[in-house]
Amino acid sequence: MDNSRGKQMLLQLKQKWVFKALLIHLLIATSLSIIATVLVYKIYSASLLWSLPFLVTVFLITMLVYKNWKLTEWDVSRFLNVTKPTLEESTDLLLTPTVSLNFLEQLQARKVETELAAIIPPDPFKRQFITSLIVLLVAIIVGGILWQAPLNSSHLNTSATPNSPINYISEIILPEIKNTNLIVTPPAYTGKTARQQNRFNVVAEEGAIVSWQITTNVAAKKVKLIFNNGFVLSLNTDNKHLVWRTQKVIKGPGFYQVKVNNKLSELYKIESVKDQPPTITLQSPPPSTTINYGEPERVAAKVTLADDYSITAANISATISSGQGEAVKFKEQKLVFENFAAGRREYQLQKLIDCKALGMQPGDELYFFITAVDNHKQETRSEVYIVTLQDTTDLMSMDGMATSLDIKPELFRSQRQIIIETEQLIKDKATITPEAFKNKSNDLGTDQKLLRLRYGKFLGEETDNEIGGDYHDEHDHEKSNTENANKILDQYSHKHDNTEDATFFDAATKKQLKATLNEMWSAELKLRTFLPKEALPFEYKALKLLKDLQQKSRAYVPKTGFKSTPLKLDKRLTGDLTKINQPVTKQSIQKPEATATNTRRALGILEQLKASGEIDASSKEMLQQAFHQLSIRAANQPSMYLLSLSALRKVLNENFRVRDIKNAEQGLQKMVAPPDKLPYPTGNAAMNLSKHYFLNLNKGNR
Amino acid sequence: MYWNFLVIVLCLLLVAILIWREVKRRNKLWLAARIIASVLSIISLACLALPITIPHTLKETNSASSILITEGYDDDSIRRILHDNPGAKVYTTDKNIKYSKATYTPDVNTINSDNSAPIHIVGFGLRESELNLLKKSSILLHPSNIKNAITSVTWRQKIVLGGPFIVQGRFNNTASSPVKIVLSGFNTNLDSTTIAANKASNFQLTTIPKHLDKAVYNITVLSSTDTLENEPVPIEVNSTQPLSILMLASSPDFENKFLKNWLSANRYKLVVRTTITQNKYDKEYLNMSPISSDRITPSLLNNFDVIIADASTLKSLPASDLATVKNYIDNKGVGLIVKADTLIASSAFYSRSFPLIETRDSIGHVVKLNVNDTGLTSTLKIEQPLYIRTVAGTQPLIKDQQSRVVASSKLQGSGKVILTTVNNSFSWQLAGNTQDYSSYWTLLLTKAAKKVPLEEVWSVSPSISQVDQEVHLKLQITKPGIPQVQAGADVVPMEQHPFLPYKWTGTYWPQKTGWKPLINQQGATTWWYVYDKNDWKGVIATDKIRATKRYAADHPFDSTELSISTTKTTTEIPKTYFFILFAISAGFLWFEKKFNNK
Repeated sequence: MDNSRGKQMLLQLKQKWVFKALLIHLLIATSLSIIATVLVYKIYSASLLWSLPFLVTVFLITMLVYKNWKLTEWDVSRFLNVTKPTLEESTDLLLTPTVSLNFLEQLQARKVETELAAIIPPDPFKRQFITSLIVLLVAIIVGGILWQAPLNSSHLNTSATPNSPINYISEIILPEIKNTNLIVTPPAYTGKTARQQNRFNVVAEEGAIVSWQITTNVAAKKVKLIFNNGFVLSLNTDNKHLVWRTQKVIKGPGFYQVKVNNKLSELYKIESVKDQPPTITLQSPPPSTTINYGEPERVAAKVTLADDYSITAANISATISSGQGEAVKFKEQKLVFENFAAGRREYQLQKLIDCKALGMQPGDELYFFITAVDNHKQETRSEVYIVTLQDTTDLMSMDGMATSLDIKPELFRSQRQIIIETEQLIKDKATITPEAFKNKSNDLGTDQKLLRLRYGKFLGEETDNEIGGDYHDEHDHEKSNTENANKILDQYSHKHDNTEDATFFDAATKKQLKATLNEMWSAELKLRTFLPKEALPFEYKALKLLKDLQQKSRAYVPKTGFKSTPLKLDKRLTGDLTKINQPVTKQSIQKPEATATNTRRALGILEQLKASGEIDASSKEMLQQAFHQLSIRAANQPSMYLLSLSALRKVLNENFRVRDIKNAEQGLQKMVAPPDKLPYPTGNAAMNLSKHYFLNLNKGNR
Repeated sequence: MYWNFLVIVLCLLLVAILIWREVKRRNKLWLAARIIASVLSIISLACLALPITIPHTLKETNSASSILITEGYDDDSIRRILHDNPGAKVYTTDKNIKYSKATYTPDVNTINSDNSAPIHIVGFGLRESELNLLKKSSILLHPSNIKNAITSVTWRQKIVLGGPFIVQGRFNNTASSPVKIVLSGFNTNLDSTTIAANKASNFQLTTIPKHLDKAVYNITVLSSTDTLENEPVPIEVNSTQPLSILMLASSPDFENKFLKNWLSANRYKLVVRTTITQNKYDKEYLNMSPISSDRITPSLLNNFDVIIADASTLKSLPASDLATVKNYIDNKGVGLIVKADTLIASSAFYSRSFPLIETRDSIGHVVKLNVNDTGLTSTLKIEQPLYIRTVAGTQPLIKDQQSRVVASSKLQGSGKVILTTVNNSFSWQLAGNTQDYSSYWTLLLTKAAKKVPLEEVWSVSPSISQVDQEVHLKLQITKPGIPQVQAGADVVPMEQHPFLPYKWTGTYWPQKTGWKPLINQQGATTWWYVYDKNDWKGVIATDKIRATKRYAADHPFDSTELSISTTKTTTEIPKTYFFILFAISAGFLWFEKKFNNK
């Protein structure tokens, strides 16, 4: 006797129901996470991948809240007992082991088993399932609507970029105009498509074509557009005189009016967006580079290019100058960036300029600049950068030293000697023993040290432990001192009394000497560590600096004693000055009454107008002039001043309200610069009584 | 009496009928209660119709005091005064006050019929003009608090172009949210400040007006939700008149050169005399025709308002020239600005009051100057700066960040001598800090400049003169004769001060708000502003409280004048109690009938 078949059926039923419950949870979770993801995407522009964590979290939460998936077979039997009367409340018998059943129960179990196979199993989750399906459908629809809706802030911006503030200013249009349709076709270089708007205020790229289509509600005789520079554009029409069309290329900012028959509209703004030339920023190299002997003869040019639309070309123009004096020769070359491909807005470019490949010899100089062209054929050039290859032979020349004015020859010769011997040592390295090589290198180091110490004496450094002091470039510090009045005074004054500089040398010479000592120290270090090849660049540099010093010293003129005839003190300051003419300068600065003053007065007049409501002739003239100034401003910055301009025009036409005065005042107030502070005479109530008092007070004092 | 009798008879009849009906009713439930309720209801009905009073004894003064309700009153204080002074009569002079018991009287004078009793004034009090009508009767003020309003405010109505316009005041914020005070003009917000919640604090708003001539700015008080106050701030900006200046220099230097360029570019008249050698000068005449300036003579000095000189020039001036300079400062009011250095002759008249303190270190001092207390300027590098020790009789003008004086002034006769130790103010110009440069020299030159004698000086009181209120016009005039004054089209007769013959006063009631011209037929037009009735209510209230308090202090109430007697009086019991009783008993009867019939 076995009721396992019935039990099996119940277990199957349980499995089916648990699956269905889980499915319902999943459906609900999906619908909730759809809405949440769309909202997060729209508001915070977050990634769509957020839907996965949402789904998991919502699913887990619903599972924890509604535990209907935690079914047991007993639950199933109980449910069947309740819903199916034919089972006679005995399905649980199928779940109890047959052994523990008595005979009657076994009979009943068998009956129920057959009954169970016969009935259509009920579905307790049917309604929930249908509901969750509906929820999912609703969620998908709501999600779709949200997706379309402009909730996203960045989404708003992108759609409004070409005409940002203007879109939100309400426009007053003539009653005769039924509607208007403006098509702004940006010029080709912008790569933008034409856009349409139904308002008169225009924001257009420079060179854009704006076409107007104005529909009037009655047949009009003529429709014109009047621009700020006096240009009048008549519109073409169809037979019915209802639809009017024209177009114009926008070349700059301004404003215009629509004239239907003889009626003039408000002023409408035209803002033009200029195409910016490309910008070039060089991160490296510095404006001037010197490649010393021994350094790699390469320069890395790192450059950032940017443009508002796109860049079509970029290259390096390099000029090599070789030779000196009259024999100087120039060679021009164009270098291209390998990783450049036209059409992007921003570039990070790199170019390794190989001096050898360009054919540069020691002593040659390379001048280069970078050009970039955007798709509007606007070209930008960078500053000119200079790369110099050091010529070592120049340093070895004896020209400057042979002259009699050389006051430090014996000291300098040694540095050159050290270089020659170092080079000899490098040459001999293969032929001599390592021991001898090291000894020779060390000896040279000692020579270098002695030389350094001898130079140190010039700087007052007589001990070994101070090497040249700190040498650094002080140009940066001087820049920040431009405000200092003393710097300017220094150019005009003559100073004697600086104890610091009262040595053999001036400050600049000393600085260079210090730098020389630094180089010598480095050279000595390399020599003593038996690396003569690495010491060589430092030796050269030291020599170069010494050479420069020597060149400077050639301008040196020694002071000589001067004996004057003794002064006759009684004759001092008794010279006849009658013949000396006294200079007299007469100057009259005829500064015209500033336009600012006029605008200030106009502000006062408008303020009076608020109370009186009447303009007299002289005030009107003043306002006319202010209007002229304002219209110049409005043509350049229509978004800022156009409202005030039209308000001021209404005031001048004596057809105004208080609001118009206020608007006009606002523009003038914004336009006029804050006044300067100037000294002025103060008033004093000079009553006779106080004068008497003062006079008597003075008498008393005497 | 007839009415009382009629009421009692009718009520008795009614009671009899009701009781009879109740007794006759079949359902005897609640009979006693019903009868009591009927009787009670009729009694209370009768009491509603009849005046019921309770007798009690009172201490009372021999005369009744009166209460005057003014704007801003609160009911509690009136009730309290009425409780302390029963029988006091309540008056008001303001038609807008709707207090049930108040009698409107247009004239304050009708209130104090009995001189000995004080008048209790509730609210903000009276204006000075109204107080004068009280004829010295004593008052007691019960002032109210001014809530959520600007309680005081001040600004200079007339300023010169380029100068700052400063509005200072105090706001009493009794609300639980902060308020924002905005100064605006020409449809533009110029400055603003915030007053914290539940706090009375001072505020200051500053701007540099850009317009010329008259204008009305606005002060708006905004809470988070709405506008609390919007008040007009009239302001008149006048253009500056250029000065004429004589500059004496012992050698050409940058300081003089920059000052010369700056002044002449602004169309100031200028003579610059720079010594070349003995008695030889380089002379520059800017914006004026050449005059002989080899010697300092009266005919030369007549042309100038200010002399700017360095110490060595003054030292080397011939004694007679220096005497002329001193004479012109003493008697003609010409100003002298001395640019001091260590070589200054310390006993000369121009340096006597300015003892100098030298700094002998060689470090360059970085100095920030406080010009005119408007904050520190940008830095100025001075080698070995000199400072001035303040002595009695001098006024320090410019101090550095450590409050050491670098420029100081003193009165010299009718003129002024100013000594400054700054000799490189031109570095501001070089650094592009034109603002600091101009404020430095504007302060020195404005202080030193010869005063322009004013022919007439007007003042109007109260300072916030409102439409339809008494305004006192005060005029100081140098010219003899009776001034013929017109306020707009109206002639205002002027009264001369009995002792000071140049002082004249007149009384006027303006009828229109806005700018109003004051025309003296001998002189020019002066403009003053007439405010609307509702402008600056808080400030007016403060003024009223102050005036009334002052009046109360001047006319104290002497209680010994009043004899106190005890009298028996009666007070009426309020009708509401009887109405409630009637409602309860009638309600019971109705309810009982409904309940028992069920």
